[in-house]
Amino acid sequence: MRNEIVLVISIIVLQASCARKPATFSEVNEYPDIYPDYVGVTVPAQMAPLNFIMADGRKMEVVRSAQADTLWVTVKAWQKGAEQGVAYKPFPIYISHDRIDPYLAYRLIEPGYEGWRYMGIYQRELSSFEETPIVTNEANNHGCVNCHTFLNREASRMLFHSRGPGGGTVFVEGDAHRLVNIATLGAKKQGTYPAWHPYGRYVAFSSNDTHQCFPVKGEQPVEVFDTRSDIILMDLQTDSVAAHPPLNTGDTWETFPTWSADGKTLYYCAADSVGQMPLSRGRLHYKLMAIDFDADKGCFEGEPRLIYGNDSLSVSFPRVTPDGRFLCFTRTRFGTFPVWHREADLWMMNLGSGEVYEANDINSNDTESYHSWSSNGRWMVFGSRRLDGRYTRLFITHFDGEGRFSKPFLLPQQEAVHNQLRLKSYNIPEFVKGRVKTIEKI
Amino acid sequence: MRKWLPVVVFLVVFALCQIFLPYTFYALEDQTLFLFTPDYFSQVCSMPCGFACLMYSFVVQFFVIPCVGASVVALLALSVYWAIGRLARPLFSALAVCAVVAVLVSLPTVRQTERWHRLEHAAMQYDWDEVLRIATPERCKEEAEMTPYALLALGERGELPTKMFSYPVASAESLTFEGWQSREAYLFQTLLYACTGCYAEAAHRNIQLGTYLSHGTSFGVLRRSVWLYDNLHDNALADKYRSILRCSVLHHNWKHAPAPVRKDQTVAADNHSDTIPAITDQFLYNMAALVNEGYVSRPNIDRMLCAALAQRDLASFMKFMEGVAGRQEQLATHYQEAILVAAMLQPSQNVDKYHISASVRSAFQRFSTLMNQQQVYAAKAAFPHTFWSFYFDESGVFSSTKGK
Repeated sequence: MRNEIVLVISIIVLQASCARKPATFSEVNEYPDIYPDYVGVTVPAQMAPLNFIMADGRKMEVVRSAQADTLWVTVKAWQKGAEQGVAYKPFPIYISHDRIDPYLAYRLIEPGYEGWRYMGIYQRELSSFEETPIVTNEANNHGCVNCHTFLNREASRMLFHSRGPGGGTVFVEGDAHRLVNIATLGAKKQGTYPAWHPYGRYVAFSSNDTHQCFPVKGEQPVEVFDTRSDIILMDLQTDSVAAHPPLNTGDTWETFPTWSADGKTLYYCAADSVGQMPLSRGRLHYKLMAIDFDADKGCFEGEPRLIYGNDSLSVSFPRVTPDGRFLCFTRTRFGTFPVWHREADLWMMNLGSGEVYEANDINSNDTESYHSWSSNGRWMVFGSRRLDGRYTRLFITHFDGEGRFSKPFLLPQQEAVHNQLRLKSYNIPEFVKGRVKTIEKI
Repeated sequence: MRKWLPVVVFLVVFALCQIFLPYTFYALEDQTLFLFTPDYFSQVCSMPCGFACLMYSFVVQFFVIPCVGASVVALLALSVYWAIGRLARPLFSALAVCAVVAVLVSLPTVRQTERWHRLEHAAMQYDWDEVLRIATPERCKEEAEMTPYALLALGERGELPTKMFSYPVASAESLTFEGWQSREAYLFQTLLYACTGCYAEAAHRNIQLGTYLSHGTSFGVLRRSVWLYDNLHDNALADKYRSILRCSVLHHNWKHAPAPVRKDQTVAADNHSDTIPAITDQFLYNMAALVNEGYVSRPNIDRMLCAALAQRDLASFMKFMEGVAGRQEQLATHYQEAILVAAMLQPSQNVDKYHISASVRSAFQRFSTLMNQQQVYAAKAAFPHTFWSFYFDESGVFSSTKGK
């Protein structure tokens, strides 16, 4: 642990310029305005260095010292050619003993609208800045690759969709992969958002008829909505797909399946169907539902039950902590695609007490959307558009297991400005326990 | 004499390119990208012939400076001259190189491409006079893709409802490339929606344009993005694109030209509402939605009314006309023509409140007489640039019972 802390603190970037540093510095009792904002964040010891710059572009010198599990960072900043600089109050970076999974997988794609040129699913090693492709759309003739997920965060078991001519769902197992057209099996419905059962045999997919619309004015440039959705269950042992009636009703749209930690419950979102879309999109309110599942029999039992929701809000992306105690979801005023809603925020539910509360420590005035848990449930990664309102960036936050989050930190980059210069958004971040083999051709 | 041949070759090729291809060079720069960022280099280097693409993009970025493109081509021609010169007489080599370049720049397809780039360039500069000089009615009959640009220019000059049918209008889609999916179509639609004031939709089309380019975006796309998001008062996004542009050689101190100020346009209120209508693939609907949502300007109203006329949708036209007639000091020619047709087809329709000039009434009477005598071609030939000629098809059916 000590070595890891030393590793972290010894590689913090020294942004000192080779240009002459002022001889004197006036001390101010405030934290420096740095980009990204890493003041007071909690990071895992294995994390790559938190490189930062002065937000206003001034030169700086960084001095660090460690005290127990806290790294104290002192910044001195000055304008080029200035006679005097500013010495800021040291700020803390807290080092957590909780380990984080070594990789993060995500898709990189231009944010929204209809077309794309290059996209791919990538993996980032969290202890370094290395980012390598898992699969890019050069593997399927510039089609779309999306909706990746892993079985229990294992690098050797993965699935994603490959869209375009000859497309389907790609199941990766170790070094091999196979393409399955789910729409030709059983229920004859295409799979969209996946949720892999923790035992590995089943995968629940939503099956969505998705559209986009572009409002002529207002702060929301795009709205994505479904005109129909159901949930289907695929049995990987028999390669069969079933559409169980409670989850395949015409007058209710079911989507975003996710499993409880023990695999005995399927959580999902459901809304009463609405006609005249997209004009009626404001009346689309998804609620959090649950239904019991018998993994031995491979079927759902009982009736769906309402867990949370009403007609003034909409729930998306429910995700349960690995210990099964909490559930995080994204809440918006309406709709089913929160990344285009500025009011989208992350909320938490204590599954034991039923208490629902907003995760104020990690939300911002802009979009917070997709999120996922590390394998020990102590870290959560989520997408946020707080930097510029359009390009989704990844933030990681520590969870204490009792319902509280730490101040989130932006996924660090070798060059701090990288997040500003990158022209792609990060999609569907998922922790992975190991390195995923690159797929060259689908 | 021999020692001057290289100079002559350079000057001749330079002159040919600079005279016949200047806008093609601008277009190449608009569509390329070269940035000093890790993402850019890793993406380009992973492409087939990545190093060649890098070199190409590096050179082409300088084409935005006048004469650089022609100079580069002239230098390439010079290298070909020297290569050929090892095998043939210098004079022959010089003549061959110059002749080949001369033939190439004279090819009809090359001329057409240059003309198209000149048109796009003029539109991007809001030089509507130049647009109309290029996209004449005769030219639009040969190259129908120019028609939307001509109609856009007419609209911006307030001449759409008087001159629209001088151009080969086929339907409302003649006012836009709606339904087309190409770089050219998206560029036009970016300009069109920027002219309507719907900068959000212009930004949408601009981003879509980028997906048709080899890097997924370009200098032109980024510059337009900065301009559009400045107009949307979205400083964060405008600054982001500005920062990216500054990672290139020539954009360190780049400042875009200010948007032309339209004094008659009501500023649309920013309103986050889930009932705001959305853009569709129907231009008439889009224009009606924009006007209804506050994008009120003379050109937008004309576009809405003329889209209805181009769609032969007299019912919608009359409905819109009732809503905007109060703003009309004097009805434009095509509007008068359409009102007369509407009144003929639906005599119960009250059109007395609209001022129709005596000359238009008289012309319509003569047109009607010819049509009633089944002299369809004569009627159309006598009144070629009118709404009547457009509205009534070749079948010559002309009665009050004919549909919209």
